Amino acid sequence: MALWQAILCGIFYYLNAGPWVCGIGFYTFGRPMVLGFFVGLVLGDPITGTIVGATIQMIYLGLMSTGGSYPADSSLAGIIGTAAAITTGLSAQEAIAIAVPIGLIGTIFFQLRMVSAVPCTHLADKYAAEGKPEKVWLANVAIPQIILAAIYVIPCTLACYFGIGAVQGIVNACEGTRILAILSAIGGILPAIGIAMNMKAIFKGDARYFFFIGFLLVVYFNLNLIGIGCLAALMAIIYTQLKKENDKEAEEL
Amino acid sequence: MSEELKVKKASKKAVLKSFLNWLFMAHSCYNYERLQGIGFLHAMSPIINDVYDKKDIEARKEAMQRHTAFFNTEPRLGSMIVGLCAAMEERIASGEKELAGDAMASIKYGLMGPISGIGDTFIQAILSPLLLSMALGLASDGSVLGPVLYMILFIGIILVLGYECYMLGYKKGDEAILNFIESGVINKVISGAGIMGCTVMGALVANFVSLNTTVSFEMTTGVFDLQANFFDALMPKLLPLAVTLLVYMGMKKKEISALKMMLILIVTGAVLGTVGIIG
Repeated sequence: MALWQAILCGIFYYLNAGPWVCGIGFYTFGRPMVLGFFVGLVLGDPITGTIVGATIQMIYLGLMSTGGSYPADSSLAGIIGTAAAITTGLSAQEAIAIAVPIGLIGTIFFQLRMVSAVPCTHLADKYAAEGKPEKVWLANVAIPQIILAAIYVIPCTLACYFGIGAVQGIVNACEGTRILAILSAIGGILPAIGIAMNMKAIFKGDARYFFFIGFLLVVYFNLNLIGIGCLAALMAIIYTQLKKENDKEAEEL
Repeated sequence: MSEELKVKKASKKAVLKSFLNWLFMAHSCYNYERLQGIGFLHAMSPIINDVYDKKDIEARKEAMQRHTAFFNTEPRLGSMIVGLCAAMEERIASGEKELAGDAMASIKYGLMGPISGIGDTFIQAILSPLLLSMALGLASDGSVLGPVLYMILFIGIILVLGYECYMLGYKKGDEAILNFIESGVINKVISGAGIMGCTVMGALVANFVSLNTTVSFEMTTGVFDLQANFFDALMPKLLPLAVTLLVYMGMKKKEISALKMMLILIVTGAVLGTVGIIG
């Protein structure tokens, strides 16, 4: 990977943590599917990138960050996983094996940002004590963003520039063994976690039956996901309408 | 009151700036000490700058110090709290000093919990996975439309939602916010979207989880392939469904963390793969 490509990957990683994408870096540059496309674009193969990113995305589908918690860094996992797959020729499912540990290492940078911004709050206190609202942006944006860029751009750039070569070495060593087939099998199971994480939040009450409807629609009718989504929306509307009428009748009785 | 108090309104530009400061920069100085606290101050700054007299340093100082403390909520829905506080600052600047004390704090801290509960469920547990799932259908076939449409849609929804929420708080006040929280509408939307989400999750299992056994037996009638002759004959994708439900039950009922579950799956997969049961 050329240095400019590695730096762009580092910038994508920063965009995930920084505020510049409408304040939703986490939902855009934090999503492996989106990163797969951008990293692929930089490396000259956006289509493979998108496919690999989509596969890695599955593990992090139900990822939630609430109240300052950050269970896994799907952004770094998406960037390094995609970059590794494109440059070394690993399959999307094999790339998951690289993405998972990287996603764990990445949480360190979140901890770092959460600590490093603390002094800025005291600078903001100072501006408040002076009654200078026009200066708050220095404490809320300028200084913390310079620190944040350093925390995120540098390690990711280095990992992309030097790390992908190391991955290539490991992949070469695994040629001809069963290791890659096993990794691929594991990569096939892990998406269950992303789905289960989201189920923890929404698999409740009558909605549970619809989970199996969705499953059967694919297995026996081969509907694609957009078709399923449209059908699901209609079913949800019909269900809520019927339930409303049902509740009304129950009240009248 | 016989005579309506004349409220000093902030300029349109200041209100827009306040909204954008919040939408973009709520997490800019995110930290363990105060989470979004300084982001909140930054969002209030254009309003404070506009409604308090430039020479009245004392009033500006007091107003700013009302908003430096700990704060945390779901930023998009939480816009309504920022909008509400902006309207309250206008009234304080116009002379309603009684709002400046506990009233402001109790509104901020009373609303942030319920709103993050609703907001995180709606945005993190429903909107994002749902949009992602549909986009994944395109993306896994190699269509770059998947990620591109996802990004455009998500940013569009967030902009509109954030702005509408800010204006709800700013123009309609705390009554409207409480009505919003307590009315059945939001629950209906969440329950309907939950049905949609569950349907799509089921579809994702069939599309993206894969598990095949390689076990086969030599029989007098020929080779009996466990996957092809038994599982696939019974129901295609039965094993992925079983694994997903097991993982779900482990995480929900036994409260195994996602991290531990990942380790369990990797180790089990490695063992089963090595002895040649799956692959």
